[in-house]
Amino acid sequence: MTDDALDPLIHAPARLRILVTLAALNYADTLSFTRLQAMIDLTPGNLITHLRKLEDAGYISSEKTGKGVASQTSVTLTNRGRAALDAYTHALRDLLSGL
Amino acid sequence: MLGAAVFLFGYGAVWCSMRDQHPYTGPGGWAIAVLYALVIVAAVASSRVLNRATTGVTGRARRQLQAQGAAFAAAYAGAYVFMGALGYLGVSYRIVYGVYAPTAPLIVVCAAAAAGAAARENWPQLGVGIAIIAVAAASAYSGPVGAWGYTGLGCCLVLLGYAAALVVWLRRA
Repeated sequence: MTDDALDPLIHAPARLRILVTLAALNYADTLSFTRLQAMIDLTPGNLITHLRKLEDAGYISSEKTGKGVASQTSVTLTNRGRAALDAYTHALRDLLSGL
Repeated sequence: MLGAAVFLFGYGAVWCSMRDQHPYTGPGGWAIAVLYALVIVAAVASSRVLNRATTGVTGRARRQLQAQGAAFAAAYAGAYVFMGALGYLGVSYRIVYGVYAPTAPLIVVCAAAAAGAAARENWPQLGVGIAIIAVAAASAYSGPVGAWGYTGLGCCLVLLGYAAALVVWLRRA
């Protein structure tokens, strides 16, 4: 096994928690930014940084609705993100099966 | 646990209000009030838990939940409208309020819940739905007083068993 098998983008604890949380939703369901933040207990700035990295990789997509104070950002796991998380999970299981 | 309490204390109150009746006159007003108060408390608590769990979630899951809620409301309302029709058509008070009321609406609503659980492949919930249907259907044979008592006790035991199984399963996970 190579280190590449464990996707470094997903391997960071905060990003792993984000992806696992979004993966628990049904296909194409979205989760609001505020609920995600409350669930994984990150500061808004920290969460935005991680979400940007995941979005740049195409693992999640985000959508902003409304304007001003009433605006709301919601995020969803993409097919690519779900596949990457599956691959990561398999790689981790393979790695740990040798213990 | 809340559902089990509704069955034990709500149905139990109605059974208590009728158990020494000779001749049969039907459930006492206080007992019906206790039953509906408990049903309302359980419904409000369940909707709060559901709202908390789905806050911030949009999309298919929320639409499915709303559609399921509409189906449950229609099933429940339909069963009670049908009960009204039975009374209107002159079916005995003992049958309408003694046998039909504690069992038939429960069977209808649990059938809808069991179908939803089967569609989601949620086997434990499907099992609970089928068990409650079986308890309610069998309790109907015990007459207008026994139907309330046996349905209440049986459904309480089914829900307590489900809660205990969930606790064991969560501890093992």
